[in-house]
Amino acid sequence: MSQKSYEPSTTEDTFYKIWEERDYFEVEGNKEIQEDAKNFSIMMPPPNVTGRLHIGHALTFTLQDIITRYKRMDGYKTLWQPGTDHAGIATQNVVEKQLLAEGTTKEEIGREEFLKRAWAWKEESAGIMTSQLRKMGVSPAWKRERFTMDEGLQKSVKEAFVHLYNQGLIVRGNYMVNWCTHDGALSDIEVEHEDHDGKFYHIKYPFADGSGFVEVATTRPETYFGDTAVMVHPDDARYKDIIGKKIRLPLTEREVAIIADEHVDMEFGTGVVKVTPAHDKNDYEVGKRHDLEFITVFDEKAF
Amino acid sequence: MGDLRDWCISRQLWWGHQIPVFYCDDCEHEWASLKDAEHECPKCASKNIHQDPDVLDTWFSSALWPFSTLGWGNGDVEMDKLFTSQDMKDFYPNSLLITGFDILFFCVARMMMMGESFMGELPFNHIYLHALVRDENGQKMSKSKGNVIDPLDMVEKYSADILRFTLAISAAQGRDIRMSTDKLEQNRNFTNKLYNAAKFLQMNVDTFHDLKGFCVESALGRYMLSRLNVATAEVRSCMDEYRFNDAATAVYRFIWNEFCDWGIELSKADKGAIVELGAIFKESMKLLHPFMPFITEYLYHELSGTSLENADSVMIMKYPYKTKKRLKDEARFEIIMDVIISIRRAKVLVDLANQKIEKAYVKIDNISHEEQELMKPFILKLAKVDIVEFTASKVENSVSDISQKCETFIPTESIDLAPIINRLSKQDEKLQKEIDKLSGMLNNERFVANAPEDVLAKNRELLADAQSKQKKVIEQLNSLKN
Repeated sequence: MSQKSYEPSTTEDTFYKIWEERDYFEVEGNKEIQEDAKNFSIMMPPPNVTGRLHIGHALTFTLQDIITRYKRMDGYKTLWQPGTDHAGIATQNVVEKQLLAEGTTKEEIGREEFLKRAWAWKEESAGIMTSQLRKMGVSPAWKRERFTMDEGLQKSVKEAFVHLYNQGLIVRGNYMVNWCTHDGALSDIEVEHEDHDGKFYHIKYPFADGSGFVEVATTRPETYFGDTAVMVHPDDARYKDIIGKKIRLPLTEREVAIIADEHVDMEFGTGVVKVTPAHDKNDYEVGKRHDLEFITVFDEKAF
Repeated sequence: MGDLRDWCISRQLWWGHQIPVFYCDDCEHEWASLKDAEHECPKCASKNIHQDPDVLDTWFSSALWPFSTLGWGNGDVEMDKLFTSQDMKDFYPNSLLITGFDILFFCVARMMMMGESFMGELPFNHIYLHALVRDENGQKMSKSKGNVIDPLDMVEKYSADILRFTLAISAAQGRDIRMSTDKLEQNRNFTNKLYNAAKFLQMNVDTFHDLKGFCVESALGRYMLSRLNVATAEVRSCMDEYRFNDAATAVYRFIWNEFCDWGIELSKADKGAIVELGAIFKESMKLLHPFMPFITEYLYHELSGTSLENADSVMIMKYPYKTKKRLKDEARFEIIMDVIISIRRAKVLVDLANQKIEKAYVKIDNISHEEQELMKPFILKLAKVDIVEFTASKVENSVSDISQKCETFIPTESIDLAPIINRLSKQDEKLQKEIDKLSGMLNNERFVANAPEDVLAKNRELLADAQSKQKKVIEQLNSLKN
């Protein structure tokens, strides 16, 4: 044994540098031992890393590296494809915060300038992330590192888009989405759910023929102007004979029908609910089932 | 992949892939284009056109990742640098995807839809979904709970090898991982074990050959080689099924429990075998390399008399592949180890656990003279005995132990029994006193009548315990006095 004892911190950095410089991580890195018709490929799912590597990343990258190193030593022509994601909303928010700190906004500097700033931040953060990955000793083909918005991938995204568009698979239309008044549409993964104790509001809805009213219980009175039906459960004995009757909505004087749908919880509130297809996920489905009108009562800033 | 809903792909952001749809402000024509910029409406030739300001959902580009990175739709942008024309053939479908449950739908499902749609084939052969890493009590890690284990801090404090190995050996399929510094400590001990094993080997021989093309001839070498082959078979089959924890356990067990605990100890009775053990240890560094790439590289080169700076890396050497078990060599050493354990056990009975004794007899059925001679040096050295003799029948006047494959005897005449008899007699007296006291109470009618039931039960239990202990002590005393 040499005189110096094993020092992980220095040895790990030294070895890593040598491995990478010798292109061992690349597809041809193990050329000498590659066997015919043995190929192995694994993608680094483009990590959306906006800060420090956490233990979940450490696990996933460790497992990917173990299988890659095993296959590489086992004579496979091996590709572990690295890359990073542009992380739309997360990145945009970081840059917007930077601008705010400088006392300006994206609207003030304009789209072009904003994108320049975002690219600069991307360069910085991707560098931090990949240097952290290197500390874990992982061996992806760094020379092939991609970015979901690099030139080649911009082309491929357009190619895919135009193809799907021309097939009629991409269309514009009204659709219920998670909406943020600042960021616009959000994906389900970007939404955090919180339970609130709501209040019940009881509203009397008069029948159009003047024969009385039904009492609706709702936690969302603000969407009243988007109501396009009133709904009861088909098995609810209390309301069996009013199904099909018309309601004349107070203020707007609009007439809507009383419909029956098993979606209604008879135990909840009065057992009579209002249906606002444009502003409630469940009502959206009901609206589609019963072919109801969709009336949007808020704009994109929630006014 | 059932029950799918429409996917809203537009986002009201600036950062992202701007939707390549253009609108004519005059004739309201709408078209999608591959070009970066459009200048006039293809229908009415108006210059009054604009591009959709929205960008695409981030997952749109990630969904293409399994084939877009292989060059699909890239044109010739950085071809032969970022991808080659051969890639699609070699690497699609991808062999494997490893990811967490959390993005199963967001990422994986979309990759599958796009892959199927554009390539006509699903993008992966296998998908490995790993669980969550929790703290040692099974709690989710969070800053507010203060139980976060930071991987980069752990790399600094322990090493990348130790962190990696700890994660891998804990990664049982379908189960959350419990992470703790205790586990990291335990695997630090493993790296110390590796280091010390290499140091022992090098105290005896400077440098070692590679196993390939090297003839392993000694009985011990052949036995260790057989065990390496068994471990190799296990590691390989686990890796092929992505059972990372089982693969890590198999290599850990071989190196620690078999190579270090037995191989190295046994080699002290056959130093000629050390040159072979070194070659086997070097091979085991390759087996361990995917898990602990750094220390394995270091020790491999130390034992080869090379350094990474002037030689090839372990990471591009052939992974161990020999999986043949040598039954005869294994059977022999199973007996040798059994005899050693048996004699050690017998020595404990007479308080001589760590001391050398003069003589021991070993009774094994159907064993040739040649095998006896082979076994002797290992037994002498590891069981710490001066003379060992094989016998066909029981040995009278001795302390004995019956084991799975043998019986062993330590003749009482060869050991100084006085202090042992003295100790056992004292133990006997003490137990007798306790028995007298307990049975006195339990025979006292008033005590029995008044004491609570649980106290009585407790005392009866203590009495039975003392009586059985005393019985064993008396048996031992009698066998020694004979």
